[in-house]
Amino acid sequence: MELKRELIRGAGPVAVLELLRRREMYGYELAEALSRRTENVLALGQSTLYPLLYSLEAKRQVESRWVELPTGRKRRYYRITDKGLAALEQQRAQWQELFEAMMGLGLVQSVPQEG
Amino acid sequence: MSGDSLVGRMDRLGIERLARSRGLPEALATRVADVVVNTGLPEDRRGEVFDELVAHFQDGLAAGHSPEALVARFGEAGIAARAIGRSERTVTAVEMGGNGPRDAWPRRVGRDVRYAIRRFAARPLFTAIAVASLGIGIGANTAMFTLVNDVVLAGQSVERPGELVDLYAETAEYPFNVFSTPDYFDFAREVRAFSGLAASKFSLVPYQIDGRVERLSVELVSGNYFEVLGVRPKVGRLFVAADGDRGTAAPVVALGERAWRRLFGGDESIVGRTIRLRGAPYTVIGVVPTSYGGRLRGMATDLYLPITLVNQLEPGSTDQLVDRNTQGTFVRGRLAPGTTIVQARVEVERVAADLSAQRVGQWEFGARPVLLPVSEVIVYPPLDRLLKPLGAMLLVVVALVLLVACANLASFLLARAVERRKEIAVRLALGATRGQLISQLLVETVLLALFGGAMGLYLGRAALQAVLASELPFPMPITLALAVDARVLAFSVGVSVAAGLVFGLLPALQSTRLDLATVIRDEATGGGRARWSLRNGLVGAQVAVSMVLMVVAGLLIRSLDQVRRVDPGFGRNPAGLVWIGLDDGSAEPGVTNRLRELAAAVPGVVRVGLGGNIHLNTLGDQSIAVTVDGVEPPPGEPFFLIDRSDVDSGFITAMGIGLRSGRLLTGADDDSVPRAALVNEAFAEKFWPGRDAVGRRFRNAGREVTVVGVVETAKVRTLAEEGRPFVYLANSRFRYGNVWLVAETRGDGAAVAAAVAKVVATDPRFFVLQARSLEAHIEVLSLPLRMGANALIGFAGLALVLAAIGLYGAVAYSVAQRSREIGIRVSLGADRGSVIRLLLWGGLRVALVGAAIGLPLAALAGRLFERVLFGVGAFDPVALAGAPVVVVAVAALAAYLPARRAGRLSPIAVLRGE
Repeated sequence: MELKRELIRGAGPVAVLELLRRREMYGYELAEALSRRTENVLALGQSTLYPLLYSLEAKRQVESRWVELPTGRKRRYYRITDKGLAALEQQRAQWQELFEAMMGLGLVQSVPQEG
Repeated sequence: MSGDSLVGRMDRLGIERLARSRGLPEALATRVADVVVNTGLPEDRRGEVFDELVAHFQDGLAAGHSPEALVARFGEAGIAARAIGRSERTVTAVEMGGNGPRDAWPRRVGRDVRYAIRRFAARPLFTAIAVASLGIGIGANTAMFTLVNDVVLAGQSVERPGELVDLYAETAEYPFNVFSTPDYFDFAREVRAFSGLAASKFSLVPYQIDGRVERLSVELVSGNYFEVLGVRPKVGRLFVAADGDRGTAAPVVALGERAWRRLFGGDESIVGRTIRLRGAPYTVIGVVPTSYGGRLRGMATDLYLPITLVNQLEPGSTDQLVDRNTQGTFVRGRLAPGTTIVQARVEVERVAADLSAQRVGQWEFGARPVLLPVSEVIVYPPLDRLLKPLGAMLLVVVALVLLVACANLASFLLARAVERRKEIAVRLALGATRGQLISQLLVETVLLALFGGAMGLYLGRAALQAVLASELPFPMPITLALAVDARVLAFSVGVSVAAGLVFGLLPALQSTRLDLATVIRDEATGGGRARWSLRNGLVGAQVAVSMVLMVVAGLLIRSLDQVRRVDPGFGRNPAGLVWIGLDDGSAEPGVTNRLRELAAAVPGVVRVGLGGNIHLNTLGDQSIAVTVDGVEPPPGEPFFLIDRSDVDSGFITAMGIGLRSGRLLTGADDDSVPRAALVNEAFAEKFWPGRDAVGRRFRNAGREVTVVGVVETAKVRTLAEEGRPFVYLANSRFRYGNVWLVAETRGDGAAVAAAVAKVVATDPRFFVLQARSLEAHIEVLSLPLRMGANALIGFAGLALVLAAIGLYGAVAYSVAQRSREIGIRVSLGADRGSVIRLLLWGGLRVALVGAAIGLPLAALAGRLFERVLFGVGAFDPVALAGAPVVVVAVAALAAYLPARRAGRLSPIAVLRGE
């Protein structure tokens, strides 16, 4: 149980950074993308997405701005910073190695299933 | 920056309404309000979260989802609120100049503590060993510190101790002699440099309670004693000057708080009642608080009585208020305002010069006053000279034990840290920072250390109480508070935390300095030898410290053995020894005859003798001034001071001291003129070398004494002394109100002594102060050595066991790490013997290096302890050769066990990675 939570906690920021690397996104869009692209494994509770974003912002790995839509509604858009890119690169390498090592050990054949 | 600033000041309903006004259906508006209200964020931050959540749900609705589906996918509001609250605080921190994510540290530590406890529960054996070894290490230190705290640090509650000065008299015999009571009165009257000069004299008084007799420790004090020291009563009042008026004052007594509780159950109505001591009534006036334990630290005084009543309480043939030759009065003064110790010394010396001119007491023979600030005294200067090196030695030893225990802990932690590398690597990969991991590992170690510290606190106190309950060579029961006060607690907790931090930091740093890729690759191939060398260093250090302790323990064991080989010159036959107080202090022939009769009738008693003093008496010496015609006293001295005892006719034979020439004493010698005496061979050799001493005379205080016989030389003060002259004076009237009864027996001396004590106690004129075998009496002298040896054997054994465990672990770990290599070697044709030898040598090499480093250190340590050794030098070859043999043998065994197991490994299983 705990490891799973830890895993998600570790994987979440990388996933968010990776999505933001591609383009600027707002909260709901990110939540949708996460569940779609990771086949729900990293769907998180959407409720944990916002704290994650806020803490990435605190680490200055992402930054945000409010945009007023033509309808008058407001959205908060997030984009990755240089610091975020560096962190993403570093973590990506580690995940890559970890994943390969796990594969090498025959521990994993595919990504873990949520349960 | 955006956000509806109104949100911050709204309550839940208001927020909900506002959300609905933005087009959210009720279910979603409720959810938004739930989250925003529970974030606990400051007003200005709430608005932003509100806006973002509203936007989130608006986007969801726009995408065509139902409110119910959006709520379900959003998740629990409480979790979101808490998580946002945390992360938002960190944003605030950044904006306020902080530098990143800051989980509130109490929360983090709390989590780490819970996690650590779960880990401990999962590994009970490891936890138990780590806690026990630390507990023992910290326990030894706590015990020592409690002693130091009680004896040295816990200042007595006297007012302005800096103004207090102790007075002693320096004589040729003794640098810190105390005063006679009339001496005190002279100084108190004449010296103006003190605002007050207080006297105290120690005594033991029998007290009958509930049908038994208790010996109470008594301090006879001057009337101004409590005023001078500034001690306030717990109950009632304490003495005032008028209580010390000679002849006129009513007999009063103040109780020590401890005695008050023990004897009277802490009953406050005792004040005003009378208690009977030596047949006379004394009115209880008050209780002295425990915070003031008495003049000598550690010897808790039961009763305080005016010193002017000394003759009633210590009945004897002399009037102690007049006699200048009975010296037992301690003097402590408070400097008058504006006076220095130098001025006080001048005045005191003037009074001493007057006394010298009057040729009274010790002043006649050139005693000089000594003034010592109380702050420089621990208990009593001559005792301090023993206490300080002994205390220093024990402090060093316990610190070494703690070091070994800590090295062991660090070594365990290292091994475990390596085991945990995988876990740590995964957590690092998952985004934990190194700081978080280190802090968590440190929390674990410190927690272990605190458990160890708690155990240590308990063990330390238990050990101390056990030691103090055993028979100690002190004249009074030792009553230390042994309080776990703030200082002791702070010390134990401090040592624990420091040990945890220092010895946990290294493994924590090591295990988190990981390159992920290396770990994962190593994990697959069974590498990781970098940690091995650090562990070896720790194990080697443990062996070295064990070596030092072993050698010192060896030296003490050898000393003890040498002490036991010394022939004290008496007590070769089993005998009982009973120290008896005489209730009215007089020992007329009728009284002593009665004592002899009572004792002689006890089954098993062969012969009985009485003496006013006993050989190897740790409680005091008695001596007389001797002059012999034709022999010059030492330069500057008017006479020789010779140890002596008053004895009856049975004493010499009951003690088992052999007659060399002349005759023994008879009952008729008691009143002969000139007085009759026996001398030992050392005496005869000193004054009449090469000639027969029998029939010769010496003078004592102007009186002639005839030597009627010469006996063999028995040890007088210490076992180490060489032939100390001694005089046995024929006299059955014992001056000091107590007498030593020696009963030679056919069987067990201790049992007979107890039987004699029981019979003697039936006569109300006697009370028994002490009963033991003569053998036990001699043993008491070697007690400090024996205690030191036992403590060190214990500590050295402990250190060795800890080092052995460390070594075992190191070799076992190496086996685990090198199992692949071993498998390959075996499958390539290496035989099991060579595998075992390889691993054994790996472990033994560490032990040998440790022993090689330890041996010269041990020799140095031996030099430090040379003063307490007896009959062996610091470089005793037996100890220096024996210790390495033991240490290396234990090390070899510790390394052999896991090595042998490795030899049995199946190469196929190993290579398959099973």
